[in-house]
Amino acid sequence: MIDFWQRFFDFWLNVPPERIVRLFWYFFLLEVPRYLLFDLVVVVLFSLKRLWNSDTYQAANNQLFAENPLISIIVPGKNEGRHIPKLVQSLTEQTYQNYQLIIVDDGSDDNTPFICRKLEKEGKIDLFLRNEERGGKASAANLALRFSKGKYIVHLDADTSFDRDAIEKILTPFYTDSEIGAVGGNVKVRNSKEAVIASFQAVEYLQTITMGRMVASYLGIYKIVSGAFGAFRRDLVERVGGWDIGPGLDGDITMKIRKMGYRIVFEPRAVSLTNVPTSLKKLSNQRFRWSRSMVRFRLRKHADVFVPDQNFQFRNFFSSVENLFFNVVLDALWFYYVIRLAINNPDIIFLMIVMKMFLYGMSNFVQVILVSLMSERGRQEIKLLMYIPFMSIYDGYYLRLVRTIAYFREWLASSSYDDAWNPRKSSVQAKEHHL
Amino acid sequence: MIPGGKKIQNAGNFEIYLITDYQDQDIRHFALADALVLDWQQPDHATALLKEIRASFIESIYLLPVFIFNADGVVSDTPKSLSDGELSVVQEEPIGKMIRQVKKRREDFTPHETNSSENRILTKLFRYMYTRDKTLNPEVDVHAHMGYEYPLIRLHYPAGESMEMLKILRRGTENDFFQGIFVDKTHVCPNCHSGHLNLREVCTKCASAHISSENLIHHFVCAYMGPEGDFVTKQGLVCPKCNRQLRHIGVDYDKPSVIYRCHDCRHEFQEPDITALCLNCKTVTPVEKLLEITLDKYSLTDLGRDAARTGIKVAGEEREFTIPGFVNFSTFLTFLRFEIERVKVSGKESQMGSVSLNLPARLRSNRQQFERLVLDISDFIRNNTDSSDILSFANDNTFFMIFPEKGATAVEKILNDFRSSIEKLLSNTFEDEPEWNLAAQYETLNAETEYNALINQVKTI
Repeated sequence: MIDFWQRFFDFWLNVPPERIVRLFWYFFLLEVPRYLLFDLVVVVLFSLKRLWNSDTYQAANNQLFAENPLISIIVPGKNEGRHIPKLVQSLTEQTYQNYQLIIVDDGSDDNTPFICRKLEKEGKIDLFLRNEERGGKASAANLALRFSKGKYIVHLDADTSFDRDAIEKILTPFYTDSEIGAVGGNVKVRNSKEAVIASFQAVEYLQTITMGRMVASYLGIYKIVSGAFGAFRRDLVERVGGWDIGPGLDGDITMKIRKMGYRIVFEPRAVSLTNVPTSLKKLSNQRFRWSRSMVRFRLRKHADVFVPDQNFQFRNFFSSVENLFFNVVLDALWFYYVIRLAINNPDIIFLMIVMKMFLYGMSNFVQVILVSLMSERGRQEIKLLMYIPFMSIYDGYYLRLVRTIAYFREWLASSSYDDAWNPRKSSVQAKEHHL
Repeated sequence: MIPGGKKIQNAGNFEIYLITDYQDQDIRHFALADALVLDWQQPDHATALLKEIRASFIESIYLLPVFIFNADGVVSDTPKSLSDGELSVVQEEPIGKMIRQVKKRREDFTPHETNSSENRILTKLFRYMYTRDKTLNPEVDVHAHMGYEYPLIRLHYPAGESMEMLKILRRGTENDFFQGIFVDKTHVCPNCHSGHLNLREVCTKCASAHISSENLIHHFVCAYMGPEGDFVTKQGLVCPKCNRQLRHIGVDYDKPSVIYRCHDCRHEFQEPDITALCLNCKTVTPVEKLLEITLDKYSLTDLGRDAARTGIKVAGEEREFTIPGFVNFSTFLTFLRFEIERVKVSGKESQMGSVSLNLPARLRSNRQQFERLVLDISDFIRNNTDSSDILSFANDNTFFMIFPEKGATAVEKILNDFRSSIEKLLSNTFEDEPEWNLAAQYETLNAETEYNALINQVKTI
């Protein structure tokens, strides 16, 4: 062991800096600029802009309360009954109260209908709709949309809970700019202490959602209003015909609204907490589904954003290109890089892996500290730093592998059409009509 | 001989009468008969007479075998259950068999007196069931307040008092006189206990029954979901989102649920409330708050058969309700006999008066209150009669008085005074009760008075 560290330091201290850069070109050329420097700059700019616009923001917030529009909170789901009482309670605590709560039970086979009917009788749920047979998440959301009466639709997942001002915060941006079509809420992990894998996801959410979406939103390329917590203008959702069959239906509807020329923004101060998978199997299934939608929606369904016709918008083009480049292209490139490295430098591969863990650790460290500094619950989040040294295994190897498998399977076999997440009857139709 | 009746000759030499004329029938005449056959040509009259017979407290009348002679036509459940059978031709055999059975069973009976009206009813019920080996069945009756009726017990309770009626059955069961076997359940209005309910689906918000439902359609291919009305066009069902035609249920669409809409308040919901409008008192009650009544079929247990033979013996029930200055009923009857003998000898006239309270059972259920009321009334009666008058209170219901040589006019006036004063007292005690059914009457005792006939008459009061 001591020999190894002796060798490790001897090697890296004697290697000239340009060789280090050449060996880790992937990290220095692609990941550091995109995920560290860029984030740093944008976060600073984002914060400055926020400070600069604080009067406008306050005025918008006042206008929201002056108008006090009815909003519809819609919660589609299956077998979510046990979460509903907590959700209802979390909503009654909200600073914004003029809402209509619609819960759609998509063919639950547990006690969900019993729990929800009781809450409906008590007046805690405004409308409880139940389908005896599962129709899929999109149809459940569309049913809620059909009976919603609010000016804005807030789409929630049942196992999500909210900071007291979350609804107020997610609605305010609509009053800062009439061109805003949808606002994404910040989603953080509630059950990070339940499992190590949940803690990794907590770090990941801070990086990709809190930080990543803030940056994307600033650049105007924010592309997924999360289904767990997102707000939409109802008129726009109706114009795009609501949700289409998933997977990744939240990314799809965001894209449809973007294509109409509306802006999508992320509101990091509208905070919700959600439970993430605590087993590797469930997590993998979730990520397979998320990743498949990249191919199915970005590359197939919304391929028209790449075509320079009269509907062409540079922001949408850039949004999809960025998404594809940093996920699909760079994943492929990464495999090329690793294989080349293994062939050319087989003697130092192990030294490189350890070094890479160190470099990634440093990068992640800076990023998490940055997020924690800006966060409303920074003291708790800073504790996640202890997971940083191992994040490169979770993020760099595990997630990348899952992602790549999903891309290939979707690309070659359109595997998302066989995913049991959607009922068979819908998938058959979606496949037949190439949706 | 019974007026309006025709004796049927029979080998057993029994007094069996066929009643065809119902005008002015007096059930007291039937005490001498062994059985009756009621001609069902006039069902209403025949039913009324049958009910009168079974309502009597005179054993030889209410236990009388009564058959229905019905060549054609339908006999409803209530008279059927009060009779001992239907005959399409007048046959001697079933009547004779019933007469012999009742007579034989009656030999087991020992005399029974009680001050409790509930025990009187129960004992009567037991004796009727014992002589016939009958069970007490709930009968469906559209005219009944509750929709179901136990005809034999109903005779002793006014139409609104179904709960009191059921209470006496429950008491019989709790004391192991009856064994109840489940027959059915019914739901009644919690306010007035009527079984005539209009059940309807109503809006969960405003409770209006003006609601309608519509199927929800799920279009698989585009995931649109909405009410069927969204899809209806002249060309058939067309999806409002993707404009595709819906052709085949289960393949390109399905109908996974329904939605209700209220036409009064526009509320939309999936599970309507169900409320019951009581057709009697107009009260609206959610179905889950309706009163559930279990209807059992009752049969006598060994203890019940014992009670039929000897009368009910329950500790505390037989407590003498003594009123100062009032004699008990049997003493009163002795006085009455002496008074009749006396007027016969002296050739003078006396009067016997009675005031019956006829209080509904529910007003008697608070025993303390009831006894206080009776004491108040008896105080009043005592203070307004002479010391030579003989007073008694019987059956928890009737005040009896003998007025020696007072004169009919004076007695009539006294009884009228009693009636109006008692009515006032009752109205003060039971404020919400709309009207009273007090009965005050008198009989003149003179040389022609027959003691036995009078006693029979007194007992039916």
